[in-house]
Amino acid sequence: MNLNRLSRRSALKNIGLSALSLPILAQSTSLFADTQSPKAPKQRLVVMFSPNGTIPEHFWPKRIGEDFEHNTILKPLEPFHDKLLILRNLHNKVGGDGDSHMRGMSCLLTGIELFPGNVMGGGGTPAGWPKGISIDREICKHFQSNTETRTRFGGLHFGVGIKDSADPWTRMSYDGPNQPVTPLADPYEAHRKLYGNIQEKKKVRSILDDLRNDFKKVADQLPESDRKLLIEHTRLVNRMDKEYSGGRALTKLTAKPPQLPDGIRNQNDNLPQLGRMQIDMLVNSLVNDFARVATLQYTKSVGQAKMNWLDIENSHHSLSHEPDKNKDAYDKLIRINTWFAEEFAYLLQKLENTPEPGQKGSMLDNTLVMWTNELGKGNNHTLQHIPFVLAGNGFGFRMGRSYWCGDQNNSHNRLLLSLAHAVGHPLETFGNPSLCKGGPLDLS
Amino acid sequence: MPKAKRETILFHLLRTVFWIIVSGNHWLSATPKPVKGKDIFLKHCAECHGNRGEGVDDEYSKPLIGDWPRDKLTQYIEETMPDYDPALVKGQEAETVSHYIYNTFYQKPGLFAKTTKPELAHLTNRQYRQSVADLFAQFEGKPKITNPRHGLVGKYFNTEGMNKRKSIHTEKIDSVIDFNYSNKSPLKGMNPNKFSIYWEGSILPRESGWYEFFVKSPNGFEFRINQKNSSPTIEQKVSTGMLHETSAKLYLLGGRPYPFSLNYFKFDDPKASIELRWKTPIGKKEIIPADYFYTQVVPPSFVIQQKLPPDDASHGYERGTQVDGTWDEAITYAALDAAKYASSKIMRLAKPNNGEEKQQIIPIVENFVRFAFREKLSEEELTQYVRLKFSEQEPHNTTIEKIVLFTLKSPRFLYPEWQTLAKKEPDPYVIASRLALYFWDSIPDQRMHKLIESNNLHKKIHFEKQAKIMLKDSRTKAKFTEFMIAWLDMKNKELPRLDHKKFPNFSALLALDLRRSLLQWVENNVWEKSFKWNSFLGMDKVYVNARIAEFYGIQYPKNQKKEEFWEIDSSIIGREGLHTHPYVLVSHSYPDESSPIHRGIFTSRKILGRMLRPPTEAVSFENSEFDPSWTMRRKVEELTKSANCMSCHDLINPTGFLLEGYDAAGKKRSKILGQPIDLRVNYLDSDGSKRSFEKAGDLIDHALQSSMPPKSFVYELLKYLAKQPSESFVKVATSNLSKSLKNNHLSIPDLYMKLCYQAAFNGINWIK
Repeated sequence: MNLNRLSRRSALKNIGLSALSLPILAQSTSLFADTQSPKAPKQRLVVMFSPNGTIPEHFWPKRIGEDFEHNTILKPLEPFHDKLLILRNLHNKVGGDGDSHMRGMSCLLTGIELFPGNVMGGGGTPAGWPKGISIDREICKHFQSNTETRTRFGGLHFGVGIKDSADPWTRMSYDGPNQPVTPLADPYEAHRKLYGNIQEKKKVRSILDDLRNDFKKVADQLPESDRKLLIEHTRLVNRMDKEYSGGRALTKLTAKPPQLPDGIRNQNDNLPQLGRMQIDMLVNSLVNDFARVATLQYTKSVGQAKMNWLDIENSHHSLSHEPDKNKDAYDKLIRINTWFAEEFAYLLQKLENTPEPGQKGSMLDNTLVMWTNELGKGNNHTLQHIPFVLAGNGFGFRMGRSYWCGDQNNSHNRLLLSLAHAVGHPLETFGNPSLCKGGPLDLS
Repeated sequence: MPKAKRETILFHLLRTVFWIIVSGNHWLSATPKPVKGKDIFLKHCAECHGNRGEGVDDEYSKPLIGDWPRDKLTQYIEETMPDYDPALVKGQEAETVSHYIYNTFYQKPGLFAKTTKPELAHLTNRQYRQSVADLFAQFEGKPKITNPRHGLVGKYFNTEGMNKRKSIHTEKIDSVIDFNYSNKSPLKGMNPNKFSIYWEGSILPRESGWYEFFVKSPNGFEFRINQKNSSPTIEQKVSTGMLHETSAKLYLLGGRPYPFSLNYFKFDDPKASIELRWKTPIGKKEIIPADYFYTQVVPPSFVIQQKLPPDDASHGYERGTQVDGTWDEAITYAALDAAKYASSKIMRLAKPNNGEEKQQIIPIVENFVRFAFREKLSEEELTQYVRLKFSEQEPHNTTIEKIVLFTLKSPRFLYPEWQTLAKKEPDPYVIASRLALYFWDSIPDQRMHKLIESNNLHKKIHFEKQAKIMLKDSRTKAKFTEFMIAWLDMKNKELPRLDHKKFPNFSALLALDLRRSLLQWVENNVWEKSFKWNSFLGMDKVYVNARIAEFYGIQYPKNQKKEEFWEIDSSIIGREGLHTHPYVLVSHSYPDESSPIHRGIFTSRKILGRMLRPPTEAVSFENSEFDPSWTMRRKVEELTKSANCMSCHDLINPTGFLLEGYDAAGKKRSKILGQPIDLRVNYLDSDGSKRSFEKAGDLIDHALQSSMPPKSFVYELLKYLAKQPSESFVKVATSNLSKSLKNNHLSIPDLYMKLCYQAAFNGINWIK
């Protein structure tokens, strides 16, 4: 998809706002008076995850500074150049138990070791869940502790193509030691959680005309004396029709819930659609201020998606193990990571296209979106040079540059600490304290 | 006194005065004409009881029927009626009106039957869940235990890496899952640090309801119940290093087996242990007993998990004669869940190599609708319900969901008797549907559909054969067990609890075991041909396990497995019939004392088949208000001595006093407060004969000679099976069946079969 062609009109349509409603939204601040405080600008954090490492040569910009060029994989992000902060030279230095994928995934946002445990990967020692909370949940708790920033859910965690199993390869958010947070993997379930059961209600309403006819046909065949109950039941059918036609619980929403396409099954080939459905809901829930922290997790560490929509029949993780000299695999991995960049761009575009309710500017102006991965590179399973692409102006970082994080202590814990500081939560350390030396990164 | 009542009394007084004045001349004449019973009734009784004894709303709303002997009726009228002034009807008048009432309608309940045909009713919760589960079983296979071996198959593996099975070390049957290996290996020759055990089998819960399962382990496991190859019910592959318990709650239909598996592994954890518990609908958290496990693996069932509002049970059985918004919404959500499940299952059945997806799906969906509607649908109907719904604009799985949603909300599915009431033409599906409903609370199975299609199920003789087959189905047994749970006053009743100081060894788990002992006795015996009415009321065997044996002082046989039940002669623990089963006694006791009233009500109603009216005013028993040196018998006699109370307590009290030889825990006793117990009672039968009883067993001897207990049992069972008032089945030969039951010519299973069969043909005369 060419994101440059994603018009403002279609983006608004996708989030349930027609062009017709745009002038009203733009002009009327009173519409949002209930939910918005005009004083402090909002801050939001969104973390997007894609697995199995990247291809560094085609990922990282060659130059450091503001005039960096967009390499192959990051090309789709070019339109957002001024709003990007690409952090180089950050490493996941959390050691201890667990293989690289496990530590890559479960220590990515926690910055702390895994408990000894019984999950054994391809290398390293067996391990369990991490020993601490993840930064997204920490910030979420911080927001929820303050009435000014408290929201209905606090944090929302969306998954795309996530299977049922729960292990350190499949979870990145944690509420504390041994407390994995399960992402909402089914968009229809997520929709139900966010907006009530309007999808189901729509489905029910679609059969009610047939049902009324059927009740009539059956009642007509019965003797008069036996019809009473059916007539009463038909009244209930009519009542349900009426009740389900109004979105009672949704009248106070800033933006209408997105309408999900019907019948998208939670299976490999539908990942692109499932992802877009989740992104639409993620953005919509931020517009409605359901949450100020969100994660979007594509598959999992060691994820084996087969990206048929890119004409790639091999499994992602298997491909990532291939040596660089396997040009076919190398090329495919570039395409896979580029596709993730496109999805990231779609997310940014949606935020950019959506005006911040009750305030000037766009949603992206008040949001920090971070795209990351559990490995630096797949075939050597390195935890060095973890991809961290930051976008949006929500955290007051100086954007529009590629930044080298220095050579002193370039542990990624410092970035996690910076995120906490940026939301007015000046922790001294986060995760393993010994990895926090030097304090938060100076990203201003 | 409330104003309304005062006004009523005043009105009656004035009316009486008026009547005396207007009839004054006649009254004062020399030769009074004998007053007719009918006139007295119309004058003094009809205002509350109706002109024909049919009852009057806001007064005495029920028909004036009962089973008292005439003398008792006369005495009762003499002493208490009319209730606003019992002095009005005395002596000869009381006798005359009693005679009139007795002979005209008192003993003829049929006169008041409001309906003589089944009413249109929606599926009850049990019928709904059972029907949906069986509907899906047509595609997934029927879960059936054919190998009744208890336990679970445990496959013990040596592993390498994380739970990678290297080699099987042993396969053995484990009866329960309650193992603490600590830092040792489960079996000799296994590596204590790395091993895995895979337990597999089925679990067969007895009754329907919510079951909570608990797995406790410091290690990794995946627990599945009623799931096969899909996501685990509880997943804890990642060990936390600490002993940790997780749980899951789900609704299960009783008498239906569900596949079970527990994949457990230890991988370098310091310690190893695993325990599997459950909490049954009426129960206490416990290690799942061996009796509920079977080694055979069965296919899973789709069981509706949606909470459904309780059925109307105000008539003593659950019935679906009312609809409301809560119910409608609950079954809509249930249908949505079923639709989602059906769509994923049916889509999986379509294979990419077998041609166009739509062409493969349509016949499956057609069958789904056909089975749900219990009909052979015409081509036109199939087109309308199914074929036309598939279009290019909508994904097939969405279309399937909508069709299933429609089907399960359609009156054709929800109102199973609609065809009986509508169809005038011969249609074997009507009989087949009723048989499935009455026998199983379900829909006709695939076999019945096939028989009808091949023209082999359309004559009475075919259906007779079919009824015999249906009787043997596990769903029949499950339904009978649930009937017994209701009949024995156990339904939705918490486990009895006794005062801990007085009965320190009576635990909740013992109460649970007693409950099981009673139900197991029913299940293991009632289906035997030789098990007749006398064996049922007489209960000459009792089931006990280690805990029961210890509490009641029963000798523990050698080689008896601790966790299993065994059978003993009921005389060994001093039992004298069904009403003396320890569970019946303890569940009809106060926490610290026996309760002759509760026991008497149960015995009068169930064992003696007598009718009892609810008390006109509720009087609660407060033990502390009585002299502590009094026996319970004396206290109850004192409490119920008024004429009004005694109208029923003259029946309740003696039947309850006969059970005073058992304490609150149901233990046999010979003394109360240091004094020998006087069990002698006088009992007035419904035919007016007076009897003396001296022990609990005398009551059973009498019940076996009486026609009322079997009659009452037959009516209760019929109502439970058909979920309709028994009067609506005029063609069911209840009197003959009761007689055969009493004479021990008819077994209980045969009674079940005949009731279902005769009820299915009730009101249908077009099948030969």
